[in-house]
Amino acid sequence: MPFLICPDCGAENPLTAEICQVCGASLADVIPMDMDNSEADDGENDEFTLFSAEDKDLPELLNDLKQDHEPAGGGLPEIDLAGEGESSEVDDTPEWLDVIRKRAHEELDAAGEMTQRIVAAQESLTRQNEEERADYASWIEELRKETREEAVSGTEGQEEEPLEGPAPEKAKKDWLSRVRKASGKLETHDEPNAASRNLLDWLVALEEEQTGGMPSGEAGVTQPVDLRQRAHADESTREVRVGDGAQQAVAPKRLDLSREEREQADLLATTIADESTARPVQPITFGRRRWWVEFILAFFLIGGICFVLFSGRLFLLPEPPVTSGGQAVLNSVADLPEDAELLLVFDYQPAFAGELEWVAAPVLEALPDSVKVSVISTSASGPLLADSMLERLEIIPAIDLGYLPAEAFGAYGLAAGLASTQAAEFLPKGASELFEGEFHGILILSDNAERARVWVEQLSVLTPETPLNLLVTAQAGPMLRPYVDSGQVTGMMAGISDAAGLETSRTQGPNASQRWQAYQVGLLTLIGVLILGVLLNLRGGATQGDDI
Amino acid sequence: MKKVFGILTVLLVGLTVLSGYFFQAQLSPVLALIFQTGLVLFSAAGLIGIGYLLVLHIRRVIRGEKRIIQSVVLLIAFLIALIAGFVLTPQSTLYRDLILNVQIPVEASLLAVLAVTLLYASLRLIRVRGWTPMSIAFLGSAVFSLVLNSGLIQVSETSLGGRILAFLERLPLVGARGILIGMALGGLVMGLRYLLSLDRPYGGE
Repeated sequence: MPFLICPDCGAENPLTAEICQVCGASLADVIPMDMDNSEADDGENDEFTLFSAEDKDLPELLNDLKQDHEPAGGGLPEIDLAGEGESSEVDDTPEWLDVIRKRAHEELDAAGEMTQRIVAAQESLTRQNEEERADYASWIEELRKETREEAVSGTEGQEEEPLEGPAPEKAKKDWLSRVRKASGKLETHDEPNAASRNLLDWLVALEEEQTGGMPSGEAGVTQPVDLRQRAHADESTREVRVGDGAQQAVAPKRLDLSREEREQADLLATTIADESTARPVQPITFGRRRWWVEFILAFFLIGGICFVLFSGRLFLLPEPPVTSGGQAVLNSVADLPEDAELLLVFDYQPAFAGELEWVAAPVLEALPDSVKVSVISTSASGPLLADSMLERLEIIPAIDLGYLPAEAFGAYGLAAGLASTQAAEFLPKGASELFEGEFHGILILSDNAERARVWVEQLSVLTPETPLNLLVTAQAGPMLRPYVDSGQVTGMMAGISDAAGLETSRTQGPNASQRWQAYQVGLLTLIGVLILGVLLNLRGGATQGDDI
Repeated sequence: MKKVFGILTVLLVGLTVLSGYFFQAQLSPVLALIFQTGLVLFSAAGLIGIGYLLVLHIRRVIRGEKRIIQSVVLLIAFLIALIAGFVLTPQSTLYRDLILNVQIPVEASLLAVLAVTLLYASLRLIRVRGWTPMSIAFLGSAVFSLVLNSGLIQVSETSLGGRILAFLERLPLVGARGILIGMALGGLVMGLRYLLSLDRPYGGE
């Protein structure tokens, strides 16, 4: 009974079917086959009736195989190209297998490109590390098994077809392509298993390179090599010496550089070589200094500031507002209970003494008389600065804790000492008393955001119930503002502007306000000079020797 | 051997101090030893630095090199401060005024000079680089920050202008928070690198 064999999956389909019932492939051009006729003719006219006319170009190897013997058990034994184990199996193996082995030895390309590639892949894998080798070996083993199964099924399907004697060279190629098609994973570039093919092509290409063939291209520059094209350009079966791979010397690996990397390397080499190149020294010439510009600038800057300082307030300039942080500091100090203990931390350099004295003045003046003030310094000049400020404000400290070398002592000293008086035993004598007292409030006077940050982070965790306030310079204020917003710090006054606003609200003397206005005049002068300087120097490039 | 000794010392001290956060009572005597030793070493390093500076200037005076006047002034000021400190003690009002009345004006003047220098540097930036996006952004942000800090712009906090102003004033805070986070992460990483001996400043690496 005739039927249609699917060209893709090999399934049998009735004559009326237009597509394969298994895989759905089109059966439009498939020629019907009659299994009964083939079987009836078997043995009578083997040479010409076992295969259909379409398969007249089967390779000689397969024809011999079909004509001589049928495969036992329906499976194709594994081809042993190296001939290993031949002596032990010579008595058991059928004659057709001996024919295959003989042909495999005589014609090294008779094993087919697929087998050669697999063997080449095995040789290449031996040079990889153990882990990769295990992976690839398992994959190749799986591939071999799958290929064998497909080949066997394909052979079984062709057994009934007639043979037509020796096939030409073109027929051999067709046979190889059929085997590839049957394997599924070794298809040509227009087939879906491109990824597997890529890997196999890569292995074959690696084998070719190690056997001496280098990809064409510019020496030393890695160029993209289309392994697929190379593999298909050499479509015919190539000879692979099985077993020679392990004996071949492993060529040293080349350093693969992309074009960009090579350009960067060249640039680096050029730069290094250029460093020692002698160059003419261009003399520096100073241009004519515009002394009158500097004089005008100094006149307006110094004169404006002095005018404000010595003449009183300029009502043209707005008064600074009262900040919420400054008001919080003032409220925190004013709300201290009687006989409360307040800790003053002096942590600033003499350069900022003028600013911080004005910042601290409104707060310290608001202190109740009954409050006991303890003083500790964490800068080298701190004790002198604290003494000077408190004397000016007529505040007599109850306890002078002296100097705590905070920079050498670090944040850990504060944390350990505050957490446990036992741990504070190793502190300097004056500083150790710091951690024995219980303070109702802490005021930190600092010009450095980093050092103030250490105090805040340690104190806000170890003594969260103690109000912590910051009196800092305008420079350190922005860096410490997040601690105020997060609530770790009760309040903060930053710079003379906050002090002036607080002073204005308390209708006290004009000292801070005067200095704030002097500061404003100085800032306005700088802004004006900056803008004028830019407008008067609109030339694009600079010439060496020119001065502003 | 020397390298291994340094690594072991740093590792032991670092881990002990770190453990002290959690076992303060138990490690208090060891911590006392570590901190006192550290303070002594820190002070000794300061003394060595002062001594090196003095030797340098004394050598310059003896050899009659350039800027000998500055070296002489430095040596005289150092001797006065040292002797006054020993004789009068830091608690003395005279000593305090002697030091602060020199130190405060000098340091404050340096800051003033720094402000003017920055102004000149800004102008030179425009001259050297020309009008580039970076120079324009720098100049604009500098002028804008100065205007904001001058307190000339004052609006009600609840008004639209006040909200816009508050937003603009918060922009530096964004940068400040980023810097704080970066500092914290940087400190953590540096501590780990020291503990893991990836960085060995004590060993010249």
